[in-house]
Amino acid sequence: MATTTELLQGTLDLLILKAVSLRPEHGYGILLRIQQISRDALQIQQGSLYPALYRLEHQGLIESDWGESENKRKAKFYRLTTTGRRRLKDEAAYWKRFSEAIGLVLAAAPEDV
Amino acid sequence: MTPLLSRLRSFLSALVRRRRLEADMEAEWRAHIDAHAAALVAAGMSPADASRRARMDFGDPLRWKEQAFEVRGVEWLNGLGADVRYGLRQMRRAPVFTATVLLTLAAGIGLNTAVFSVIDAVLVRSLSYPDPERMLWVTTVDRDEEVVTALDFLAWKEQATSFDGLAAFDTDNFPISTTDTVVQSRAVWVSEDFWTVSGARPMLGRLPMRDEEALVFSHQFFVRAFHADPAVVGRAMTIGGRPVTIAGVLPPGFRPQLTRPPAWFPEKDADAYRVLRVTPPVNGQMRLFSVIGRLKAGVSPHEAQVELEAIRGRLKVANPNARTLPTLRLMPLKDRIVGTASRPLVVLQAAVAFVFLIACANVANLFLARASSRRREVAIRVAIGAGRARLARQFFVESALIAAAGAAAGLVIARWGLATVVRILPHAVPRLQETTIDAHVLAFAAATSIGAALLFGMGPVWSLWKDDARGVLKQGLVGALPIAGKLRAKSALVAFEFALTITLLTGAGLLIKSLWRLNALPEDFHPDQIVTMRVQYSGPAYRQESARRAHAAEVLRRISSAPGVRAAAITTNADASIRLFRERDPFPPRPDDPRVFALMTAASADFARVMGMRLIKGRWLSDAEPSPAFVINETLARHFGNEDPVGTRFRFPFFGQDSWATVVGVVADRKLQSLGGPPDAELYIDYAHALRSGYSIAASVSTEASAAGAELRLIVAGVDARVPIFDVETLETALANSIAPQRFNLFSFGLFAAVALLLASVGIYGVLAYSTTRRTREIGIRLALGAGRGEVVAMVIRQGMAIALAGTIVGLITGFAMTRFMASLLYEVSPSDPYIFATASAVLLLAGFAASLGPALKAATVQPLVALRHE
Repeated sequence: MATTTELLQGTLDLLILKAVSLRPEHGYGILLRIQQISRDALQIQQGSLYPALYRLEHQGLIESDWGESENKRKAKFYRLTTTGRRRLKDEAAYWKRFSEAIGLVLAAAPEDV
Repeated sequence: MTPLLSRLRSFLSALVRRRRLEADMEAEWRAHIDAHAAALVAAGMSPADASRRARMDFGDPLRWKEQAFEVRGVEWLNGLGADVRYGLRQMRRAPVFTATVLLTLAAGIGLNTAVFSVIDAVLVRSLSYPDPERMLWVTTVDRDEEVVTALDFLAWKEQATSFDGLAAFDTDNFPISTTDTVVQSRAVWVSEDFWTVSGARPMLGRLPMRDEEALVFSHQFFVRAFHADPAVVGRAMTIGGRPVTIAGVLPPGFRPQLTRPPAWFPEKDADAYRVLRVTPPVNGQMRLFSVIGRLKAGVSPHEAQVELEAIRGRLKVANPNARTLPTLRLMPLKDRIVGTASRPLVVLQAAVAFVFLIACANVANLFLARASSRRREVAIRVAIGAGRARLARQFFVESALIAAAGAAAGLVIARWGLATVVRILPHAVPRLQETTIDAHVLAFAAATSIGAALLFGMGPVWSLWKDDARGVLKQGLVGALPIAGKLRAKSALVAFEFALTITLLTGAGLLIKSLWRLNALPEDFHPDQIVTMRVQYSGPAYRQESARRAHAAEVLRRISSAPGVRAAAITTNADASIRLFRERDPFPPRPDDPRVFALMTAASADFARVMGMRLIKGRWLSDAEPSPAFVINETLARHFGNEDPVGTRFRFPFFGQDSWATVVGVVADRKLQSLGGPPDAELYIDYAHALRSGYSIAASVSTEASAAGAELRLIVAGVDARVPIFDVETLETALANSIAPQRFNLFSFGLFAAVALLLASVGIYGVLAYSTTRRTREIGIRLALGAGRGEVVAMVIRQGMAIALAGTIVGLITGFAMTRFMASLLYEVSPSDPYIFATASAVLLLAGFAASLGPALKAATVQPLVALRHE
């Protein structure tokens, strides 16, 4: 478990938004996508995905419809709304700046301080 | 869709379709778990292991579900539902507590609502005229007399511009005859403007035309006398012997509330209205009226007063000999009608507010006691992670539930109480019968109960923030926990209740004594054995005085000789107030001459015997006085100083030039005529010289009174069936009606005092029970160290009595100040009557003692060993 990282609060939302931005996904699909994107570095309890999904839906960032999964089963598909897309862009920009800043701090050599 | 809208939608859909949402989520999650399991199987796991593993990876669905609802904001409401359920469970778990609080609140809120309803009906909604605030009672006054002369009225009517309408009226009793029946009616003569001023619209037929000999019936009379037969409209009848047409019938709601009735005329609505023509006086003879008027919009009563004064001034100049009353007085009609009724109601309202305060103090005490026994529960819940705000809400929900239930029960009590009061004492307060619980009152009940909930919901909440959970938990695991200063607060609350109660008790005591004084009758006087009935002459047959005299003499003869009748008399029941002139007084009087008025009763020889009157000087009247004879009462005799009144001659008739009546005797004052006030100056005249349109018969009977009444009625009807006979009742009933207001006051006050006493006793019982339970261990130690059980009993009772005594002393001091406001409700009793105060204190202390006894005896049964193991 050394390679897994405690999920930072708030990051799950970003990951979900990113996952459904590529194409409509059902819950399990989103989970797989997150694991794939994060190269399994982020470990979450699978069920906790759902309150997060409902919260995003409640906020109008994603919306859902019942459809059929690739193995012909009924599943609920989530996709990004326009508001969600804007939010994803903002959040992504923020995270990018934030991680760059952290990266800079950590890369600083002793003589720079 | 905007985020706000989508939130609202998802919140609402979560609320409305919670079940469907749940099913939806479960389906979604099942698909998820199945997909995961399938993936695991594909990776080589056995299906059973894969299924288990998939469920494990997913986590606890209940947790996710709760979170899912929480994100939608439903959890708050859901939690509220849980609080309500929890609150109801708590109420069931402590039935004694719940019942006590409920009954206390119900009594407090119920009484408050009932009294508020009466006040609302009598004071707030008392006028049913359109624009009631513009209605004025317009009158001229001479001392106690309030009447308007035709001269004044005609001048106002012609010249005044302040009014939309001025209506004169006069009340009288008339027999109304159809071809086959005669019905006694209370008719009101009303002048033309009455119809516009009162806004009356007929339900059937039409209103009378100007100067028409026509009648309009009230709806009640239409139903009572004519069985609501619409064919009555347009028929010809006679009233007082004159032919009239029935023009129409007024709607059921029409109650013009013309005046407060004089004391001897019980409040009843008018049966019929007839046209009053106000004509200028002829030969100095004129009718006297009452007048109501509607002000023009924007005109103040003061402006109207100034205008009418000016008109009166001009009248005096133009006609110096005009006889009008000296003072003009205008007042809002509402004040006139409500009149003296408002004082008792305000006192009652204060009394009932006291009861409500006591009830609240009790409820607060009960909640305080419970808060302390629930401190541990609260501490545990805080310790295991319940939010304080969440707990505060829950306590609030609990108290709100109890308050709501209390308010509902209170409304039931109020409804029942009002119905009872209206049934028992319909004439106690003007318009009492119109009292209903309406929206105003509902609002009032809701406000008081919400106030109460806020008030006592705070106790446990307060301890939430004050307590340190660990500290409380360390103090042991059973029993109630003391809160610093709590007992003192509780004792102070109970002392406060006692202080309020003593005020109510003394109030009730004073009223009881008044009523007792009112009812204190001469020993040989038994009003339950006296039958009374009224007889009214009408029509041409009795226009001659000799005909009336002959009829009355025959009635008297037949009744007196009827079996079972001890004595019978004729009386006119003080139906006239007259000004007296002695032979030596200057006549006609000058304006500044002293005025002596007396209530005149025409009476026959046996009247003194029937009514148990006590002769002080001279003799009583006989039935064959050769010339008019007077008997006067002590109060009237006092007007003429120390000289012996027997033999004094008075002018009779009262403005007569040279005819006289002689005083033959003096009798003691009687209370019957003027219950509730100082004795009137009274004058009795032999009936043969003063028999006018009607009289009452009073017969003292030795048989059962109601049967005797029916028989006597037949006997009277046997003399002449055309003469209406009505109001057959016992004198006791008649008297009871005349003191109905006093009985109403006493009934209400007595009820309030009893409830207050009960509540205060419950209060002291509660405090002592609480404190002795708390001191079980201490008492156990005392007993173990050799204290006697008697000492323990005495100790607890001392504690209770200290509270009771403190409250009583404070209450006596404030009570002296409070009962002063009741002076106008009392009869021959001082508002600071020491006996009443002493008795009330004794009763209260006794109640305190009785309430202390229970906990004291219980404390004495403590087993030392058990008590020491107690904590």
